[in-house]
Amino acid sequence: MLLFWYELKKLWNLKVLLLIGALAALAYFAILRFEINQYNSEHSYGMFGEYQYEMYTRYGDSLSPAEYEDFDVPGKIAEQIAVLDGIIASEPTFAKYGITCYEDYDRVIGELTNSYMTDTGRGFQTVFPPEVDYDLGVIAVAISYTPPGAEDENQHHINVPTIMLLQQLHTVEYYYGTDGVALTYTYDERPVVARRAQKLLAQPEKSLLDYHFSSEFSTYAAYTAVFAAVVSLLPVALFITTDRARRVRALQYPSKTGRRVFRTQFFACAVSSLAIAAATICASYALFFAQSGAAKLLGFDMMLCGGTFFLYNITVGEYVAVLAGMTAALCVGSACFAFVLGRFSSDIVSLLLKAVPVGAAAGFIAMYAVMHALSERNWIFSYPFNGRIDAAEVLTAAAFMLLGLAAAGLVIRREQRAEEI
Amino acid sequence: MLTLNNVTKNYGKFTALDGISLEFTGGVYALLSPNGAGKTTLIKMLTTLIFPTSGEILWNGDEIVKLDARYRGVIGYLPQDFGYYRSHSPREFLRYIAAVKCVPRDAARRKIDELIEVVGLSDVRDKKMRKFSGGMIQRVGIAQAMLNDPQILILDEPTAGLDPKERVRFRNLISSLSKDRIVILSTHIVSDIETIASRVIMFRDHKLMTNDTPAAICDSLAGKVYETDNLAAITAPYLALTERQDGGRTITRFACESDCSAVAAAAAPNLEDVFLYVYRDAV
Ligand SMILES: Nc1ncnc2c1ncn2[C@@H]1O[C@H](COP(=O)(O)OP(=O)(O)OP(=O)(O)O)[C@@H](O)[C@H]1O
Ligand SMILES: [Mg+2]
Repeated sequence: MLLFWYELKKLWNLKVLLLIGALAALAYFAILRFEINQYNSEHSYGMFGEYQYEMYTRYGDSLSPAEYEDFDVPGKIAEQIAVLDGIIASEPTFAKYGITCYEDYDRVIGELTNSYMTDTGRGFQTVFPPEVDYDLGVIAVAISYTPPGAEDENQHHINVPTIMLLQQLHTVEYYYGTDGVALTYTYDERPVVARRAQKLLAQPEKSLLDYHFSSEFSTYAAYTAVFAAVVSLLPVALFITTDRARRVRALQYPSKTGRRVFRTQFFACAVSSLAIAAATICASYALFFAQSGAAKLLGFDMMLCGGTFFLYNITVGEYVAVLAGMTAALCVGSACFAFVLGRFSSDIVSLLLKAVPVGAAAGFIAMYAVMHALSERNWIFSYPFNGRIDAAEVLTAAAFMLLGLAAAGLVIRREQRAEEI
Repeated sequence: MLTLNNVTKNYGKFTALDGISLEFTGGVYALLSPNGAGKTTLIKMLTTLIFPTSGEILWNGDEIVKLDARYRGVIGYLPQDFGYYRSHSPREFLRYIAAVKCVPRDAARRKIDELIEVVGLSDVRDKKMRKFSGGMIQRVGIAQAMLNDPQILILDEPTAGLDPKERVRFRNLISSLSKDRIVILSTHIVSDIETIASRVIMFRDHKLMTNDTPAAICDSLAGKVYETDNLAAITAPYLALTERQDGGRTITRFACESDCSAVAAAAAPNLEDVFLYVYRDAV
């Protein structure tokens, strides 16, 4: 046990701590902070605008068909069209082109665009005469009218142009009023996706989870996983190589502990990688939830088919746990491979030469396993596995860990009789 | 008692040691051979870093690899080219090695202080070893080898890279540590062991050639070593051994099979003479 602590102490030396601290700061300031801001700023300009949030405040985590009725999307659409009709009536330029109400607007602008199509010799282009061009400018400004607004409790700006509100309402109608999304995926070529779509059709309740939460958070978690996996590699590899490079093995192996020291060192590496995973996950996820206010989402169902078509009925909290578990598995796997690399490197330079491709591979797997995990958009699920295997990305992370453990186990066994130390 | 029975070690097709049989009971055993003779190979087998290709090594009748920790617990080893952590102080490093050797913590603390004293590193015991001289490092090496109070102390070229003053210190240190234990040390520097070795072991062509007391080994050249300042006068075939300056003359020591007492002064053979004589055509 004493030896185990000594090995841990050797692994976690000051240089390693400083290096990890520097990398963590770099990761935060270069990537993670940006991702959190991205999530925050998209909030008001998402495809549902503030309507989804409004439904959430009124109906809670999920929306039943009755609640959808109650929210009265058609009524809200009519309201916004009335506003636009008013704008159109008060601006004479619209009348000049025969636009009397919003219903005319799209159609007439479309016809106008078509009628000025000319062959320029390098393909067709719309060329408006200057006076029409000017009028269309006036129309564009008028139709983009923004009603004076305020800021809501989350300081999201709600003074959105009326025409955009209309679009958002149509989106709400499509996603919450119909089974359109599920229907499009019913014929997906990936069996797991198609099966899920079938199942969703029979599920009347729809989640009110922030539509871009799963994609934003899983992307953020993917960067976190890449960081954790790469960072797990470094101290372990350095630690193991140092004993060889400094020729300390020749003191350890003939000692009473003997070659068992190598196994003890492996445990120190495994424990350290778990510690790196735990610390990284806690710090990174806490930053995300604290700064984005997404903590209130933890109880939500992930089923909503918004930015991603999510494949399983689990809550946000469970999803976060799955991503954290994948990250931990990737860290352990990465540390195992580092352990093997470290064993077969005689100095830091030859170690780095091997660590770069292995680190890149670990980072690649971490990125593509965790990003959009458990959704239709996950790369590992969709491409190497063609959407045939449930949770293929989670299995990949687990396989990475098991492979690493197996490799480390073999190396430890081999070490008992190894001569070239 | 440590016994080698017909031990052979091959590295691939190359035979580094061939059919070595030896017995170590107590005292200082010096493995004296030129570079590449197989001293380190033998020592690595004794420390279980490598394993014999054939033959067996027994400690009190039991195979050392099978004895496992029970054997390794009784050895202390200073490798040729001793490795250490540069960012550690001697005390930190010795604590670590004590843990590796499973020396209980309190006993280790006492032993470390004592050994640091013995090897004369008290002033620098908490200084990082990064800036230590070769001699200081070797002293840390000896201290770590002694941490478990080994019954078998194995030192691979402990004096390599030391200046003459350090060598003398080291020789005395080893001599003082050799009470009640087996000390096996390798060297190709005769003066290191001439006075302290109880037995000298020499290899030739990867086989055991000599295993005897220094006196007996020197006796093997008795009557064959001479000194002269006029080498040209020697007509019989001879082997030049060493030269030294004496009052402006160059005195040459040489070995000759036939009696040269008429033209040169007979000299008492020493270990160095034997070494040069025995390995005369080794490169
Ligand atoms: N791992 C190895 N693989 C192949 N050959 C080796 C290996 N280790 C040693 N040898 C060879 O075995 C022979 C004996 O080497 P060894 O290191 O035992 O000699 P030594 O007597 O300790 O020499 P030195 O005085 O230089 O330390 C040498 O010819 C060496 O090249
Ligand atoms: Mg050697």
